[in-house]
Amino acid sequence: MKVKKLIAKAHEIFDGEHRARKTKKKHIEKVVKKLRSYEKKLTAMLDSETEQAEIEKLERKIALVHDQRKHGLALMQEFSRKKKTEV
Amino acid sequence: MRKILLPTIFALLAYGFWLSPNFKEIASGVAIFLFGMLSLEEGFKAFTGGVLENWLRRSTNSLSKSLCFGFFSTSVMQSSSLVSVIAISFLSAGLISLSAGIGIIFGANLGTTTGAWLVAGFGLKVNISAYAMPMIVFGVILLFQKSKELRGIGYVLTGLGFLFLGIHYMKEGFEAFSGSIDLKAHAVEGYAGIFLFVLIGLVATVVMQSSHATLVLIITALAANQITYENALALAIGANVGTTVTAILGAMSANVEGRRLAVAHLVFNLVTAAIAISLIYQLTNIVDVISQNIGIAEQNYMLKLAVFHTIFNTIGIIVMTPFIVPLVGVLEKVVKPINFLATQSKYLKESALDYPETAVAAIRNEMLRLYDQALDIIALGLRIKPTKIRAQSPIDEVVARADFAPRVDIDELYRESIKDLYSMIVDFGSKAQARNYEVPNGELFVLRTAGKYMIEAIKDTKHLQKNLNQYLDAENQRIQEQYNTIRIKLVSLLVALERVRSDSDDSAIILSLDHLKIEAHEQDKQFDEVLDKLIREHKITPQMATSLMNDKSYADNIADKLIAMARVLFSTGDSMTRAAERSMSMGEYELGAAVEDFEGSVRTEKSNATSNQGGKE
Repeated sequence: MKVKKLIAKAHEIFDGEHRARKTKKKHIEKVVKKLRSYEKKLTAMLDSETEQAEIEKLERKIALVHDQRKHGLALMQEFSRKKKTEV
Repeated sequence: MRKILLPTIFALLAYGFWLSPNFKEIASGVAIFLFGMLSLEEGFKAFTGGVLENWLRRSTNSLSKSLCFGFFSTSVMQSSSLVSVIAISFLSAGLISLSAGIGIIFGANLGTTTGAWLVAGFGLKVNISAYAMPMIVFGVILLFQKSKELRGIGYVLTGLGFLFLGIHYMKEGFEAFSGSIDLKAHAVEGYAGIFLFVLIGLVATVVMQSSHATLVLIITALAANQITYENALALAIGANVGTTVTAILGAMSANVEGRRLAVAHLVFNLVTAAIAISLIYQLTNIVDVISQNIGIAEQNYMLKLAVFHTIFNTIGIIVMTPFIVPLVGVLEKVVKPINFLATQSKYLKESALDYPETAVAAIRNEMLRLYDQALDIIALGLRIKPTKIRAQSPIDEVVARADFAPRVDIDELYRESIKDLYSMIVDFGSKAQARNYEVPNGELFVLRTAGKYMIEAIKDTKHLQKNLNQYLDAENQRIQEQYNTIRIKLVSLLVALERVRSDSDDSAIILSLDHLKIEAHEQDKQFDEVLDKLIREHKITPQMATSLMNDKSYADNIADKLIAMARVLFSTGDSMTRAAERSMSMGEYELGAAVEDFEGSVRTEKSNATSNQGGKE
């Protein structure tokens, strides 16, 4: 391993903020995964729904879950960007 | 008694130091060793912020995992007492189950045997004081660092350094001792000796609050040929029983679950000790056979003691593990819980203040109990029976006129069932804050805000109740309908919250609370349209209209506050997951934008559909 890489690795280990960001990213990823499976579940429910009012309600729910997921992905990207700028 | 105990101990020790410099060396070795253990405990506490909570969650969902957790955590931390106290704190705060706690304690008993192996196999053969000095130097430098983790490593290093140094001084002291005094001459043979030395081991452990320290003392004394092998075995048994005292002391400030665990610990160690004492000669033979097979020299009594210690604790686990479920049943019958009144705290115990996770969990659990009371008051304020909401009955059924709950005095209910408990929670939160430990993700502040929202929701219900009671019985059908609409809105929300609460281990469900907010916004629009129409058509008086508008605003506040509270209280994930949920939840502005986006897309779809139809025509 090159010295630069070694220093970067050591910096990662001793940098508490970096570790905290990494843990946050990991947990956001976990929630994003749950949202994805929830979105799929809602989509399946929508496919089998026939009542208009329920369809609209489900569509709204799916749209919201989608937005929340996008928000989570944006947060994850932000964490990755911060890491790159540090390196 | 207490007043003279400490001066007496000091006087006796001072006399001992004056009498024998070797005794001074041994005693200072023990003191340094104990200081090392304290430092080690402090170091591991630095890593409890979230890490320990996650580890505990994942590793205590089955008995085998709990046993392994107890074994490995004690092997690493070298303190079964610390692991026992952690288990009691976590159990008291409702983070783990009683059977998981018992598993941890059993595992910890086995884990503590690694200490004997380390000291007997490594500590006395190698000049460990040579490692102690650099460890202390590096450790102290790390203690001055800003990072919590680095400070934690610093405490662990200095702790290990002092442990090594303590062992070194004990060894030196006993070696010098053997030149002048022969303690072996005072050895007592047979069962009388066994019982006597079991008692000495027990008392020594109670005094030092550490079986590990007693064991190290036994091994160093054995290495210096100051006690007989047989008496050393009895001392080790006594140390095992003595260690439960720390857990019992820890359980005194815990709730009933914590006390049950301490009793389970005592039962385990007493049963193990009884087996070990009654079969001591047979066990010695087994130790000889095992030692021979694994290459331990016949005269190496220190390692043989480690083998004995491991064997009798393993036997304890083998004998007791099948009885964990019945033991839990017996403990639940014998150690009875105090029947908590709704206004008494159940989780806010001193032991829960020891760790940030337990303090946060205790406050959360107690606030959930408070929410149960708040739900009753809000429901009754709306003239709804709370049981119907808890049963998640259909809304029409819940709000049916035939099922109206009697009118209640919210102020009186608040004083009776909320105020005291809420004050206790706030007080406990302040105590936790004063401890200055790093609570992950500002959880204490978030919880305090959630509590405030809950109380505000009750106060708003009180304001709403006045006109609600009046207009629900009014002759004007229209105003009656509008107030019933407010009830329906709030009841739907309360039922939806109950659903979220029962499915709160899924982050997606917690985040679905945002959908409830969107629904509330939409209902607002419909409500405004209906209100305008009623005023225009003179179906309600202007006075009724202003009352309705004010009360609608109270209802909106109640909904907003309950949703915000639920987001914090209902999530059962760990602190990091809860923080992730909070960061992904939509703010007011984002929710408004989401609604507009959705409505825009619906409008476009509809106009497309109309133009397509027009085209076809």
